[in-house]
Amino acid sequence: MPVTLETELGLNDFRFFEMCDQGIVIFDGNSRVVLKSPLAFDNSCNSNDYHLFFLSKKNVNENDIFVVHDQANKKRLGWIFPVNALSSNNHDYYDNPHFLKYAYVGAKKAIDECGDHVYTRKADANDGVLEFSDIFDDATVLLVLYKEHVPAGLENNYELLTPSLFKHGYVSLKSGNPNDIELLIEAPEERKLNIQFVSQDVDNYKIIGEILDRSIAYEKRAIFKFFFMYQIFELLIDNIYKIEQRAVTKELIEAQGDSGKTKEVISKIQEFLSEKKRINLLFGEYSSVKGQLVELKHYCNDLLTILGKEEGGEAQDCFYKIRNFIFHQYRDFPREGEDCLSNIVAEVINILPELLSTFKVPNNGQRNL
Amino acid sequence: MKIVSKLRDARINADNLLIEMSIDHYEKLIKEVLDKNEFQRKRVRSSKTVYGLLRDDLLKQCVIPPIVLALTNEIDIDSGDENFYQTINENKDHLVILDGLQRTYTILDLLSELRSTGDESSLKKVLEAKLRVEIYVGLNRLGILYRMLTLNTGQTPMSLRQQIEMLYLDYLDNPHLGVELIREVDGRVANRDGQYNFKDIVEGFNAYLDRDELPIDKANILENINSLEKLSKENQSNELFESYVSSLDKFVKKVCEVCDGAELSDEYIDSKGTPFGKNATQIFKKPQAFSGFGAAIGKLLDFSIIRDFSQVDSLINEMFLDDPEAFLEEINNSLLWLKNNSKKIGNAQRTFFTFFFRDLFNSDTDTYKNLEKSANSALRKYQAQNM
Repeated sequence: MPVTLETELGLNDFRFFEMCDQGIVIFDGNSRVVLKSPLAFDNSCNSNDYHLFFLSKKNVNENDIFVVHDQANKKRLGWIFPVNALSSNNHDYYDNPHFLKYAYVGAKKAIDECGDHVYTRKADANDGVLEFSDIFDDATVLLVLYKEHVPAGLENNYELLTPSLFKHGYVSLKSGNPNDIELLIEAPEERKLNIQFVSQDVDNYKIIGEILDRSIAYEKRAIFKFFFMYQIFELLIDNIYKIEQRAVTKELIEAQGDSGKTKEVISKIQEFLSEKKRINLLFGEYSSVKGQLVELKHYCNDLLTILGKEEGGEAQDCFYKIRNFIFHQYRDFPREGEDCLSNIVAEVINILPELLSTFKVPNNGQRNL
Repeated sequence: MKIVSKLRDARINADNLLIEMSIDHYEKLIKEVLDKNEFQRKRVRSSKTVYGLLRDDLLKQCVIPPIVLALTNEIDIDSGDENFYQTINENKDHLVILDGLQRTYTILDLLSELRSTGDESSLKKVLEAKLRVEIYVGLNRLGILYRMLTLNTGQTPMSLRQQIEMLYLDYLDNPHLGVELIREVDGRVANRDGQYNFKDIVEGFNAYLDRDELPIDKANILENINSLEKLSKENQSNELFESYVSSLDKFVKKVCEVCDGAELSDEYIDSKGTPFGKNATQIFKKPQAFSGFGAAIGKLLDFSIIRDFSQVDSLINEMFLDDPEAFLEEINNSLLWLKNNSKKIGNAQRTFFTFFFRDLFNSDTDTYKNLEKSANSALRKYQAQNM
């Protein structure tokens, strides 16, 4: 659905019409409106070859323009840029030919596809000339991806991107006001944004995306962010439980009649019933994030010290101790622990894309326990 | 043609004439004005609006409200009706439509349509129909601007910049201005001393009027009138536009003189990337600096820190710096920081330049007349206000 503007005759839908010297002309079948832009858009490409996703980022800067890369496959996927970049020739990419192509696609599709499900302002078309910021909030960001370089059907599975985008402070833009978003993350220093697609072994990636974009993004207090964050781990370890149970059930059936082997299998069941053990499996066997947990361990141990608890060994042990304290003893949580808890949440956001992209059922579900 | 009424508008210091003329006379008077005058607001293109209805009503010889024109030069208004029409005709290049642009387009479209369809009888009726035209005659441009805004209340607003551009058309060729103002349609670049883009100058002057360095937003009638009310405290007969342009040009020339041809080094550019401006001209001959200059001077005047533009001219002569290259690096560092830390870079740059000029021309600051220190303090003030 296209953008809606106020006209003399009421609210009307305006679609992309043509380019002009002043920018882009949009048209409702009756009146023309110019969306001003000093950019020399490159309209040589077919916008149907691209996906557009509407995002928002708190305090996004006009110069926060990045090439988007698929980290695993080392492929360029597209560009991500604030909508304010369309109205300016003051940023670093105003004359970059690659950017100007994606800027054209972004501008065209933003007009034609925003509809009611994306937060916009009801600008007044009667002046005949508008800025992009008259329609789109300053926090609006456009993610434009080349369809051939991304998984098929991505338009219905945006959540495969969510953890990576969330790590850099980008939240999916819906009809709610983006200024309510609390998530604040600095832009990356290098000029590219690395994306790690969520692994196909993660069944509930849509729920995980919702938790990030609809809950954590809007939370101010670390305690609630941690609570929501841990729900993601609950989902993952629940998956692990089902996988392990399947494998063990098979072994149990095979061990029928053999009491020794049956006892062995039953003791393995007791292992994966333990949540702590499954957290260990998640960080150890089910993903490749183990080498990136130094900071997480450091922040968790800092907090454990404040809480008067013994420091943990591995990062996942420390993390689980924090979880237990929060869930069972929050009444005793000291004020001075808030900053540490914020650091833990921030670090989890940082490693989540790696955790989810490398999540893999070991040996295709045939784990040797 | 008949002059029906002559009144003196003391508020804007101009004569107001109410004239009854045929649509035929009006067409002859105004047609070339629209053709030549690219600054006129673009027509509202919509067949289903009231302008479509007006076209039909004109065919039925309705009486439309007076169209209001302004003549930006002085003529003899007491020479009698026929002589007056001839005089107006001779000066029609200086006519500006204050109110009634869309009605004018509707009239001309109707006449063109009737001629192309060969409907001679309807054409004759429309051409003979009478029209009332008000003409303001006088030299006070800002007063005419004020009248334009009050006339436009409640209607589709013309942007303030468009109205200013319309009023200052005459300056494009005025040798007394001291500089050459180049329009976009000229297809030339303002790259010589004393040359400026007209659009940029207008933006800067508007920043002075509004005391606001940010780009001209939708014409909010109340805000515009408030700006002009402030202006009425200053002597309306001053040609403020000339003063603004003259001071700005003096500043640009002086800063280039004290920088003495200095440019950023290749090492600097290699390490920091493309700078905002390699030398003083490239930094200060930009709309962001013009707007900052205008807004700063306006604010300093409001706070009675400076008296007028002639005092600004004296201060410009006293500006100094120790190390031109260090100054260029300082100001580019500040602008680079802004580029990487602003939601809208252009706005941030304008605000930076406003702080820069305020610090430069304010005797209460430690950076008074010191170009290099003002470049540093301006960034700190921007950060304190915005971060």
